[in-house]
Amino acid sequence: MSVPAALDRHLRDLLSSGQVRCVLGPAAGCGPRGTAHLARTPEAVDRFELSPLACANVLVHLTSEEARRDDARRPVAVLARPCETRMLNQLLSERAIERDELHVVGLGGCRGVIDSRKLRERLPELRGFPEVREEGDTFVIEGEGMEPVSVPRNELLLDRCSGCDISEPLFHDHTFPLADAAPTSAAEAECAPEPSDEGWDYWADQFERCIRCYACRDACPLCYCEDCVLDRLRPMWVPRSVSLKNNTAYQLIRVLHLSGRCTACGECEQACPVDLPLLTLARKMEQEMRELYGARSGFDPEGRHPMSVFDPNDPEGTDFEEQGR
Amino acid sequence: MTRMANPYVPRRARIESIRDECGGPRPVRTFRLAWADEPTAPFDFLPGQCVELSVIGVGEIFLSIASAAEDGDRLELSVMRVGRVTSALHALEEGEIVGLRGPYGNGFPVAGWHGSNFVLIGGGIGQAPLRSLLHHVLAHRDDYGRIQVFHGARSPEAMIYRDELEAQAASTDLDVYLTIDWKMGDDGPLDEDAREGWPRVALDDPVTTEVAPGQFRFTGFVPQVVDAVSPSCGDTIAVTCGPPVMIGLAVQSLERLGFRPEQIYTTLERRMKCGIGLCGRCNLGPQFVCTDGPVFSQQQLLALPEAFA
Amino acid sequence: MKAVIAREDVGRLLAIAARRDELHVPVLDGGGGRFVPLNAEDPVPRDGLMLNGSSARRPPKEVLFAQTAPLFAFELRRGDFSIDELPPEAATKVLFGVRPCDGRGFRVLDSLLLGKCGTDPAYASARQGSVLVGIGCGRPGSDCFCTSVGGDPHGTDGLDVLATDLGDALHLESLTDGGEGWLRAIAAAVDSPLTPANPETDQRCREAHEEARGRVPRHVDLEPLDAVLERAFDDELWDDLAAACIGCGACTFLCPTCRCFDVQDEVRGDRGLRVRVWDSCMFREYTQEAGGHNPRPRRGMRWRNRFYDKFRWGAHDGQPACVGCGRCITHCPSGVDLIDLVERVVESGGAA
Repeated sequence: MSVPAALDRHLRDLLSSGQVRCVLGPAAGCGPRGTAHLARTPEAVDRFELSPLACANVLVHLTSEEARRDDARRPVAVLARPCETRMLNQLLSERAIERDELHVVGLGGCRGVIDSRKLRERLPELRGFPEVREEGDTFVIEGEGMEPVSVPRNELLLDRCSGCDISEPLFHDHTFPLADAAPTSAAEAECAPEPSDEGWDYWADQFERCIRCYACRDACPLCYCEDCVLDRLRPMWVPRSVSLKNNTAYQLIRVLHLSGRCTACGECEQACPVDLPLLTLARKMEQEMRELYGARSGFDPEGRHPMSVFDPNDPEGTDFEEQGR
Repeated sequence: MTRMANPYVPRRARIESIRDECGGPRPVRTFRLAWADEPTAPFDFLPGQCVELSVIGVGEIFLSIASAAEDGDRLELSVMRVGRVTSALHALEEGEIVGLRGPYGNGFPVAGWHGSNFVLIGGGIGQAPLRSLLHHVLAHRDDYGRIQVFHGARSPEAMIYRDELEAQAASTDLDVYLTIDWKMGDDGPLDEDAREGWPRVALDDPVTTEVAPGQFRFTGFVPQVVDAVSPSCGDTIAVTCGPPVMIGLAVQSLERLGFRPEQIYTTLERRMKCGIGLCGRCNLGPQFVCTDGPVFSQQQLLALPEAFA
Repeated sequence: MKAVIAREDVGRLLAIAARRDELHVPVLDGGGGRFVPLNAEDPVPRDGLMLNGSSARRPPKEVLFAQTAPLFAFELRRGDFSIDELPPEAATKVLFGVRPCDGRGFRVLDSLLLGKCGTDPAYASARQGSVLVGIGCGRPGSDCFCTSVGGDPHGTDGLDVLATDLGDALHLESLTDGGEGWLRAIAAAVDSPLTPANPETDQRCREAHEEARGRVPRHVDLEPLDAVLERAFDDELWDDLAAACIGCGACTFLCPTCRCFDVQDEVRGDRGLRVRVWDSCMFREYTQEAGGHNPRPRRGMRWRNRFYDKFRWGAHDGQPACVGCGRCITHCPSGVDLIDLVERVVESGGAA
């Protein structure tokens, strides 16, 4: 059993009573990487995994093309870490999903999850999905045929977790503690986003590398449009050719369409197969929206996002001339 | 290093004339083309083969040829306006230049069909490759037996090739069965006036719908008409092309009438790009519609995955 | 021909090679590595070269089959146009540091792009005269399974020269006429750092090959797969297998044997290019027809197509079109494990 007994029982009850049509949550994927798992039967609950390593794109499956096909009205139960309840809030505020379609099983006491790439880099000899224990400020990693290795938490934490200020679900139907570990000390990392100050050259280097596989978009729980502007051929807003110019247009359109909505969950960056620092872009956007409109996405399920509201008193944004640029 | 010919480069072809085949939300026009540059040698192809037609600057589409090689140095393509390239094409005028390369695909194995009867079953724009076959067969009329053409459209206005088919039926030894959907026209449900001259399918007595010698009109789905007319399967080749649902039902009708899978042919449509078996997208399992097809016998299709998707 | 070069002299060898031909080498680029052209005057920093541990994340496919390639240029006039054919690339391309799996990948690409139907002229001209200098994998990556699909960490299929890492030196062996010519030319250069191989280096080479074979971390038994695929096509299984997939193109773009492409016209003013750009069968739009019909509307169907293409339809010379490089596993954004899927398909037995 990979989830605590009480939670396991709860999920099985939800499924066997027919209260929910399925349970969506994290599971062990390939290598030291998580995957999403959709349990439709009580037996399938076995596969869920709450290890800090199991944290890949769960919520995208709520709004995906395939999920929309499933038109049964019974709710989906979601195993959600605190930051994921923020994303759920945002989806609710956009009416991308309805509250009665959801049964939120909040996971409390989150101290952050592990970036599988950092782990791979730290322990290249690791094979398969290792056991992870949290001991104070270290993760103890126990891989197949390996002696346990202790690694300081801050070396492995996902970037999105550094500076995260929500350790409890924002809302839930049920909540279960992730572990008995002591609550996180908020001082683990600084909260301010660190947008790159190397300017355009830096981003040109990054975007030049983009292979336009659309993983960043496809991993985004908020990119649920059935007809995405980036796929359109008439007009073709972004030519298919892969070049710095087109890649930049692609990434900027993607990010701008998320302005005021993005919760900086970092799934885009996690998904990128060529390591583009997309969370930096997301955080920059989040910071701008906060500074300009005082808006913070995902904290109010009734909230309207600033880009969809007209207010004559809206600030005009940065005046480049005034800044002398 | 010898330089190979670039197979992606089209030749220039001039639009000699444009004919409106039908209007409505998805209008069809037939473009008559001739090579714009030397050599202007005749187009040589089999009925059922395809070309890649370019509106340069917009894109390229893979189309079944709607005429027959017997037309000499002219080629006809019937194009329904559905997407980006076809819209751009419909905006062109006579005298303008398009890109053309081909012919591609296998075409109908007409050489092996001498002496056969034909049942051609088309729906909508799917009639285009059947027109190519029909033109070829009519040009060699003595080589073939009885010919029955079934052709359906959503409404009388949406029916392409209607005048031509009825004229052929009037002048040649050919039976033409035209049918329109009885439920919907392009502007909603058809009223009785619109159906005038288009009687409902009468399963028991199809002959009553003969409006002129060799010309029959119905209201109903194409496969229903096939059922009602019940063409004989003896020494007969059946060819069907149209929307996937229509093809599926037409094949069922034919099988009920005793046609064997090797007597039934279909020409398939997929999203195409390169036309020469390289880009990968038109595969039916290990085969490509653009090079191994687009003509397949039912016998071949039964062994191919996604053939009926 | 066999030769040996001291580890610290590899830079000199590359400089000679880059003077002769258009040389591409794998370098770390901040995105897990890819092949870039090496300028003889401006050699790559040593630690940037990816000749030791794992393969470059982006396979060398893109050197010979560019993600974006012009098919021809055109100029628009009123109601008319003219076409400019672009000259083919003339330079001989040498790829140094090709992993054996990627070498076999080119064999698959050859069968698809220089195939029975048509020939892609850009690929053909890039491939003509190309020399693939392989480097064996002393330490295969975490999801490598080449030995399960007919390959080997020091396999030679598709390569022109194979380099074996002996620690302090590389052992080079030519495998084809093209490789022999290249290696002889390098050896003949006045400042050539190559020294002849000897029985001792040959022996170390054999040991390295043996050792590496045992280090391939993952295995899958493909023997029962074909019989299952024979009857599993219409199985319900595929939607389940695809459940975690997010439908992006990462697996296909990182795959050394995927070659599907799109063709688009890109115009600026009255001039433009018709380009071919990699496409992915995992995208919904891939088979979306203008009229609205889509023969592969579900993700499970798209997965099934890719799976069959790799393990059944695309097979040639009795080997699957998958070369076991493991990239689609390691870098799948949704944690889908191809090997796990093969096992689940086999387990299902093709129940339908």
